[in-house]
Amino acid sequence: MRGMNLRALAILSMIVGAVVLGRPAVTAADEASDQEAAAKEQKALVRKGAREWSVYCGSCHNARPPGERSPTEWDTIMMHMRVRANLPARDAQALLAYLRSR
Amino acid sequence: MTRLLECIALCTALLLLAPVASRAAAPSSDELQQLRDEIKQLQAQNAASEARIQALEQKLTDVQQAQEKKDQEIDAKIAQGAPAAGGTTADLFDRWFGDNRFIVTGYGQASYDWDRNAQTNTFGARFNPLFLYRITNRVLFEASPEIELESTGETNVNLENAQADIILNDYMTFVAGKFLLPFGDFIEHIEPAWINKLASKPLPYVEGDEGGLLAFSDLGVQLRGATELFGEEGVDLDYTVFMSNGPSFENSALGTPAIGTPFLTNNVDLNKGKAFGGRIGLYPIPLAAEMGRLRIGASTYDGTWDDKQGLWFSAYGLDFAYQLDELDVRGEYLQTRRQLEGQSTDRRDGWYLQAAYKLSRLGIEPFNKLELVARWSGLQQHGLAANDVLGTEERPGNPREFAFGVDYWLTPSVVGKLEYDWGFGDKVRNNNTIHAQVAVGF
Repeated sequence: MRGMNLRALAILSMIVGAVVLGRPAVTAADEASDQEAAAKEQKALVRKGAREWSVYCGSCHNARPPGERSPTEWDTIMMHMRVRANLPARDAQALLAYLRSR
Repeated sequence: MTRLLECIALCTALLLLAPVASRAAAPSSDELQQLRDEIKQLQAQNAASEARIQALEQKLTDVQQAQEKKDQEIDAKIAQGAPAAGGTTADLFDRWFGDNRFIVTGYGQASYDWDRNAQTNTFGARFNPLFLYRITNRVLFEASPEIELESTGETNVNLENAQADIILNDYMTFVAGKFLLPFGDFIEHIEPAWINKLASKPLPYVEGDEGGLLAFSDLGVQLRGATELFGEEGVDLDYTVFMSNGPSFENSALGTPAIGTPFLTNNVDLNKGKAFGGRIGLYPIPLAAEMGRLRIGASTYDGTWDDKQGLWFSAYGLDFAYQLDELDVRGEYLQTRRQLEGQSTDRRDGWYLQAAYKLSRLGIEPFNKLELVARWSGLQQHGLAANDVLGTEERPGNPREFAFGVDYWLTPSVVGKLEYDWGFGDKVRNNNTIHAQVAVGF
């Protein structure tokens, strides 16, 4: 009975060990993949913002150059513009990504 | 026998002709030399082609490396977008008070106005700072005082707006406070001097006692938002619904003001009834079509205006704006109706149509920084005794105006404007005005 318990404990330890040791490797790979996907998505967002910048901003006023403000100032201004110009959320995010990237 | 003779003759002929044929196939020494030269020439050409290919491959590698470097720089800049909390004062501020961002933007203007009928000939100035305070990524507070030096010499200070914007989700934002009236195109979108392509305002939107149809701001709450339609980039729909203190007119609290009395901002509600309004805007052209950006909008605004809460004011408007490259065309039509005690309804119509064209394609300094603007606007008063009320030099009855302007854009937000207006209306002589203005958006 005692030997059986020891065997069960050993098996359980192996399972736990495999889970614990195996998990970081999988997570790191996942994280790298996630980061790559996020970087791709960010690039796509910047490109979308670049396409929309002169058209969307220019529908009311001359489009202001991205270098005119710091990234954190654009955060605040784009929040204001999202509300004032009633921009769709995704377009506001894309314009912000473009303005911040320069 | 005959067959044998034929065979012998054929063999003889072959033996005789074989050396001749052999001599004809062998190239001469000149031909051999020529062939050698051709081979050398081809070898030289081949060597040159290989060298060119190598040079092109090198160039391609250089371009690829440069592109990779540029991408890395962009990525690095993007990554820098959210700076880690470090040693700067701003970072320290962030750590203590959260993700606060406070900035001042806005615009200022200096102007000169000459009015033949009003006999004014004066300089003026106006300053509209806009304070933006971002508390979190979902909460923003904004306020804009308007400080204006009037032609009478007095300084007029007015709180244009002071509002909290709370982003509820991707499709809805809650706004509370004093906000610009979400009606039509002019008030919310193009009123600031650095955006308005003319120094003057179109007749339906002249302010206060000059006889415009609507107040520029109101106190209350809004829900607003926008969404993309059909998954097509550029095809959007936006909406705004609001509840506010509502309209007010000169002498509203004293009884029934006459037809055509100016519209005032209702900072203190005169009655218990609130006003309701809404606006919807549609952008039907996809971005990929590269056919410009078109917006079509419709607005409403309804509420009681008198202190007894029995008389209604109603307004509706239609507007459009279209931009394609250097061309900008926009226009609005709006109608207001106000119930009057013991009189017929006070109805007023207003409209404007404006076209502007940038000469940037000329490519010749300084003309490529010029923009030509033309606008036609008007007001029409309906109702009893309309022309008894409207018909002074300052406020002509049923006025119409043609405005022509030339803008010089020093930068995208700094502009010098020169405008000539030709106005006419009932019971007054035609008027000419000249406006010059320098506007700076900052």
